[in-house]
Amino acid sequence: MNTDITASEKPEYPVVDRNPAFTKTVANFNTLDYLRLTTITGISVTVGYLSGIRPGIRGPSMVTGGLIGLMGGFMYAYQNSAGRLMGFFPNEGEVAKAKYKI
Amino acid sequence: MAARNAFRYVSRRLSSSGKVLSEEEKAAENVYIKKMEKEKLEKLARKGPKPEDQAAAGAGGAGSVADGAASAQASSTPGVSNDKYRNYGVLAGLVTAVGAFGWYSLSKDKKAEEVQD
Repeated sequence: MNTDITASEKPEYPVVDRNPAFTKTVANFNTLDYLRLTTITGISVTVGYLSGIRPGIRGPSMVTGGLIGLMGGFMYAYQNSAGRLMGFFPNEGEVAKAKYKI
Repeated sequence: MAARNAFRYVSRRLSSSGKVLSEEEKAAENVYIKKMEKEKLEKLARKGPKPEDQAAAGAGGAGSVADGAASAQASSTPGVSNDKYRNYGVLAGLVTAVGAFGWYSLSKDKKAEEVQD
């Protein structure tokens, strides 16, 4: 089975981890990633609340919006964190941390 | 013909609450809405004739996004919003604003550093 993760485009930044594990990627979230997660979730909750006013389902609509936002926000933050570890996004912080460890 | 049908469909969708209802469903909905309103009024009456307008005005100042919500709950203390969902909504709006500002400022810093390099 081919489970190799070689991309068609070469990473333009230093590769910290070619194939980071889930836990490592989540642990690598930085402040900006958490801000992304929070903002996207907040937008979704707000939109869910506002769109639930007219049909009178503010609560459930807010919860559903929150779920959608949480999923989207987490995926976006994960994408950024993984991209930085794999060298597809600017990753000065990750490189500095990896050097410090060595 | 098709265009006219489509226009009618779209306008009807927009005019109601996003759903095309048959006459029977509309009637049933109206009865349900009337029932709910009656229950709400009864609830209000049971809690006593307290001015809930003040509470609504107090909460509206924090987040303009939450305006337009008909707060049907009477407040026990004037000046405190007792509408739970609305409070959550306003809180979410504030968190969004703060998060967006942080996101914006952080990504701007990074760009400035790159230019310096």
